Amino acid sequence: MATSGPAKISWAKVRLWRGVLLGAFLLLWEVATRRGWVDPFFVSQPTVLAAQIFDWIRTGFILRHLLVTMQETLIGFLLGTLLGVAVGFTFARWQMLAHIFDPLMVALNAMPRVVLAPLFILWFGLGLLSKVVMVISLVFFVVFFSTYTGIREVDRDLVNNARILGANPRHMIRHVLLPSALTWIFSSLRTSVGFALIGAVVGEYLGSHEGMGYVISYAESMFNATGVLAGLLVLMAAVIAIDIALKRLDARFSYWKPILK
Amino acid sequence: MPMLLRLIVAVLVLFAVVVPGGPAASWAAEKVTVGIGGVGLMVYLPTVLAKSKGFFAEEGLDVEILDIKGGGSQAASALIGGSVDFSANAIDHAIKAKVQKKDLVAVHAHVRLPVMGLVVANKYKGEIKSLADLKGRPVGVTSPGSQTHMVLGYLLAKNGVKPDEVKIIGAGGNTMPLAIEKDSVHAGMMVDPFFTVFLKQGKGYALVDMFTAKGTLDAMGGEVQGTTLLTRPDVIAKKPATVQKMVNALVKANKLITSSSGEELAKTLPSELAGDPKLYAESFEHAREAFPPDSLVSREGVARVIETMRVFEAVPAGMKIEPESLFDNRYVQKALGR
Repeated sequence: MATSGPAKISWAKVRLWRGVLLGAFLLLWEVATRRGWVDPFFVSQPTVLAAQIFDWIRTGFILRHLLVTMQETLIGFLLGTLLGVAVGFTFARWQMLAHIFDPLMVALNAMPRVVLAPLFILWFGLGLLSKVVMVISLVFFVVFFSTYTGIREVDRDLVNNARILGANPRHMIRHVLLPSALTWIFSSLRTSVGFALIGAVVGEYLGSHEGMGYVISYAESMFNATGVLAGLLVLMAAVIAIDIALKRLDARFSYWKPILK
Repeated sequence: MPMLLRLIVAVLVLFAVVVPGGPAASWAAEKVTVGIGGVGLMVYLPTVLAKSKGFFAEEGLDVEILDIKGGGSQAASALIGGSVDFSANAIDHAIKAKVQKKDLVAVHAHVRLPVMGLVVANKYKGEIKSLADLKGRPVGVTSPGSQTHMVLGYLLAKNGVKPDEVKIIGAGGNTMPLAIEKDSVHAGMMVDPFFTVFLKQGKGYALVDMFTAKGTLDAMGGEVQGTTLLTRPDVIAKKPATVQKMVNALVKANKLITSSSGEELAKTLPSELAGDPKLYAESFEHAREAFPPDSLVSREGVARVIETMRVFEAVPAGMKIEPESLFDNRYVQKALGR
């Protein structure tokens, strides 16, 4: 009983509290809009929102748009990640390159890409390409910096020991550098999924004929707060789903992960 | 303590002297804010002109025009949210607000035509000869849910094309010319000055021209109410005199517009709004018929706009909206002295 760490957390209690808080929030929202304390024109209403989402799913309307957004997100996310890992890895191995391009990377990363979106649309058209480029521009830097750091932070002793044991450069990459950097890369992936979706949605919001950004922008121009919030909730659910998938992948690939205690 | 008291008394006395009083009230002009989604657009000329000619000031109003980035929808949002008391806006926004159970009222007609056109890139001259030829092609509107979107849907439906047989893309008002040039869209709904410039540069041709009364009649089958001055019912209830003053100034502006030449107007406007005066004059002459000398909101025109919005179910199928509930011509009639 007398463990030295913090008291053991009861997960049942945590879940209960989460449920209670969420329920209370929704109830307050519903009551406030029904009683006229808050105008539902601005904030919609939980029951109306639920009905809207249900209707979207029933008619298949939302699936069509969600698939478009997911396609842009995933293509951009994969390309951005590959590019980020490749460049990060290269820079970590050839320090000279890293030094030469460091100011450029910092400058490019400092640029607010969301504001650049209208330019991307002019350069790459109103179709899939402009959204994918937008996503890549957001994902690349997160992954690049993590990969770079991940490779640079590999345990020196581990590297030296592997070398003493006769590892050639290929072995080093396969068995030492990549596995230890994977932890960093995976943690960055979970951050960058959110960015990827933002990129796709902002791109659609500014110019497109389908996708969640289009749905939200249309609802907004109709003063339809329900449509805007329902669209956001659908996107939120999509991000959570991807995050869970990534968590599973992470657990499977990072078998190597050092035990942090 | 007495020090503080004395200070408070002093401040109060100062207020008592400065704030009320007959003469003070007359020279302190009433502040009014008007939201506009893009002051450079031709349809907002009455408000812009009334301001630059000092018509609002003559009525004792100090009007501030807020040019709201993001177009008419955002200006209307500002009006609904209470950031501004008036917005110069397409009547569409009053209808969309009505669908969401919010009332907006049009008290002055800036224009009586849609003042937009459908432009096709020259390279499709042989292929696109009518609206029916747009089937399966990407066509640009200024933004999803905007007036250009609704009118395009109505035009397509009228010509036997189902709106979902056309890829309708929100391409932006000022980026539309580029979208057409870059072939992102084969055709696009354009407003002025872009419409006039694009045709003048010889880069495209107009399939539909709703800058003229005849063009609108041919395309839409009757009157279409264009941009109006919108306000909220609570503004009308609390400050009817202010509404009347706003409308007086705007009626005067429309009278001046309809009796002026494009060159004269281009000279009157601040240079950053008129741009190239020659081009502005040309663009105005093309759209001249859009400005109503009487400034009255047309019942038939409003009814037709409601119909255009049914195509995409922006007005739900079962919902009935009375055109009369969206406008109030009493202020204009009073200003006209009827």
